[in-house]
Amino acid sequence: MLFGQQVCLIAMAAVMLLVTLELIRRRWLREEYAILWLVTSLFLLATGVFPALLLWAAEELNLAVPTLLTLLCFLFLTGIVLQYSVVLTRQAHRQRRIIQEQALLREKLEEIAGTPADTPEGRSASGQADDGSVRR
Amino acid sequence: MSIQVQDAVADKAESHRPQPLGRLADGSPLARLRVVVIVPCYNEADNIAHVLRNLGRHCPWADVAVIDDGSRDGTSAAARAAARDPAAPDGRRVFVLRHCANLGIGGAVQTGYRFAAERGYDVAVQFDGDGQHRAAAVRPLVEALLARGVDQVSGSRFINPRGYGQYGIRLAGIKLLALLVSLVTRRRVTDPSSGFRAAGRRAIELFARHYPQDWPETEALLLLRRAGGSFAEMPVAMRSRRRGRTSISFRKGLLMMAKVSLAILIAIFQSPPSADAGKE
Repeated sequence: MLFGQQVCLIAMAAVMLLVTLELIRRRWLREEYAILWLVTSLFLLATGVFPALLLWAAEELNLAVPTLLTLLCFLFLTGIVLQYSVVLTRQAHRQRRIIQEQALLREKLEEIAGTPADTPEGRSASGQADDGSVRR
Repeated sequence: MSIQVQDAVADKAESHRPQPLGRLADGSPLARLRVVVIVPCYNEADNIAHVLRNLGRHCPWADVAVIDDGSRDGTSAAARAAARDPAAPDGRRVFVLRHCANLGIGGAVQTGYRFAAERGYDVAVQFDGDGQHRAAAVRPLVEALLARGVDQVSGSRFINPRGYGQYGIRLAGIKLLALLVSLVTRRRVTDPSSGFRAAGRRAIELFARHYPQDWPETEALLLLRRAGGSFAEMPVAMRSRRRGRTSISFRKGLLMMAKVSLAILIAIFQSPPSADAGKE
């Protein structure tokens, strides 16, 4: 591996590691994702520092061309993205359920507790938050 | 303790079960039905009062459920104000349900169907909050649902086209969708994107569990068909929007075509909708 490439790889891995650490520090990543990205960036960093690792891995995996490892990486990332799409879809379904359920429950609550129609004009209990943001 | 509270809530809720309104003295079978008109709307504060007034005038026998899909212009406040209209016929209820965030038309309509399923309505009518549907056509639609014994009847603008100016390209798009849907469902469908529909009990329960998201009307037909349901069309006239702009621009129209066509293809391979609630 050329020296320039190696520096490039190490720099990328370092940035990725730092970003991951910062996201963990801000609690923007859940543990399972934090671990995934930590391991990934550490692996990248290791291959940058010790390029021989890549050659060794290629040999172990019986790959004639070491760059075929990038194909494996690509498959790995594709798998992750696909899994996230599934997660996002499921989350969207849940979010929809929750918002609908909340609307139905609030309607029922308003019926039982006395309707918000009794509150002054334009300040219906449900309208407040967003009416406020319109005036912002 | 908590059980007692729950019971109290359930009892109270029980007392709000819809009653057959029976206000039609002309012996129409409608008199025995509990009907709710689902009005999904998003930023329709200018139109909603007018829509509710028309519904009150033409369908005093039906309850109304306005679904405010997280509007930012005070649509639900306008709807509540209109619902208090002293000129409104008594005994008829106008419910206003508000989403705390915008879900899109599919989510809004489904809230209406869930409401109808929970409260035990016999018929749910979908009626747009932008004023393009005619309140006077609700009764013929519900009567057609009964007369034809199907699970859903939708109003078609194209059986006897009148009173609705479609752009050529848009018309072509709808015709193409109609052809696709007709092929897949093996039923003649002329206006698959019509949002003016009446659903019976079986369709209400199906849609309460499963309802598509974006441009859901076409997919809902496929869903109903795959669940073993039946549907029919009847001719209706529609207006162009009263105020404000339609939510479908030309670019969005193309996107809609692509999405719905894809959904049709996907629907062919998807497993039939299950009775398993909460999954979708």
